[in-house]
Amino acid sequence: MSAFFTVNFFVQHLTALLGTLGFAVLFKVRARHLPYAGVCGLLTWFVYYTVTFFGGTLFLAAFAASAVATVFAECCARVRRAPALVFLVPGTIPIVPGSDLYYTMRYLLFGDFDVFANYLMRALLVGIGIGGGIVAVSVAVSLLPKKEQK
Amino acid sequence: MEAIKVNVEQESLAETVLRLALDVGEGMLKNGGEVSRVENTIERICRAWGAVHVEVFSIISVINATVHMSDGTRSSQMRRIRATGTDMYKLELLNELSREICLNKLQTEAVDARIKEIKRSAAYPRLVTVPASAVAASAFAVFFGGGVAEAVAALFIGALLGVIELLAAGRVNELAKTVVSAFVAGILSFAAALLVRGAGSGVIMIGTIMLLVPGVAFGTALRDLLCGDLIAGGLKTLQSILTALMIAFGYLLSMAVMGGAL
Repeated sequence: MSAFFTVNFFVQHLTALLGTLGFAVLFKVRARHLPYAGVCGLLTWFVYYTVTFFGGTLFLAAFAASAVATVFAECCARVRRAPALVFLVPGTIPIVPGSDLYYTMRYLLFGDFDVFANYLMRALLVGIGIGGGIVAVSVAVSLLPKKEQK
Repeated sequence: MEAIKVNVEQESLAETVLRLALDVGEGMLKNGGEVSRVENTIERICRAWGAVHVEVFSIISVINATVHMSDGTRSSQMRRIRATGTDMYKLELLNELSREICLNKLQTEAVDARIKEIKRSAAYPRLVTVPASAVAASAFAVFFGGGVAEAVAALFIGALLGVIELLAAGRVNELAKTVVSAFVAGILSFAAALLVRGAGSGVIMIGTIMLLVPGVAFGTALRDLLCGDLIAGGLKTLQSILTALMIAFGYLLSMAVMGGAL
């Protein structure tokens, strides 16, 4: 098995962080939340990278990464007193199946249906993984005892 | 959140309460809040102001609600939502406002003013879109395996897509804007690959495409489906698939013009 900490590892994490921050600004996350949103993106990519590195499937990697991101975003939400979405939406950017979705449609227009089906399955698996991870954690959070509201 | 002109004296309590609750809900939906959050918020605000019965149904383009107050008045109102985007700053402010309403039961007049203020607020100047798009596109070009040349090319193309976004915001059909953006990005990725020896047009394109592709929308659509918001989730899925199709179409056009494969 090749080494875990390769140059690629650092380059991908650095660019995942930068990309997340770029999108966080596009999504108008206010400046004082930016570091937390960035760390959320970094964490998401780290989990995804680690799971796929050790042979996990795309679905499992996306599920685990978005579940961890949701836990982190919910913690940030409590500490920073902002909706969890502020951290979660930019935080899942590194794993969203954007390029897969694009390739799906590209090969549909090319008429190459085998490749089309392949990318469609990838996009769906990752998409359902992300959605599933978020929902699983959200359900768990909603079961936690609520703080008494004044 | 278009300003709704009302003669406040003639408005019953139910009408005022529901109008303001819908203003908050509409703002959340337009700025990227989930459908379930919007429905919850509207219901909670109405109850905080003394509603005895509230029904809310929302999808991405419509909110429908009915409220019955304890004084016997009732109201049903509907809001049609057109343009939606992602503005976490406004979402956060609206969330704060709704929490305050539920905790201290702010006066309705005060809420009216606060909503107008939030509508005008912005976390960053509009022009920030340009450098942010440039950085995001460039970072993702490297993320997907590009080198320095690809990063520089994606930086410029990303900035240009930011400009297109600013110029077209709210004025042009969303799908048409997507086709044009994808077409421009495709032409430029191809040109950059011709200019710089060895630069991969595919990597530049995938970096810039991250700005256009509805990856986040697709993820949230599937989340809505799994949460049981079948109609909202289904519509959002359809919307993101259509957008991806338009991007592919825009790139195919650019490919036809440039006479090569990206």
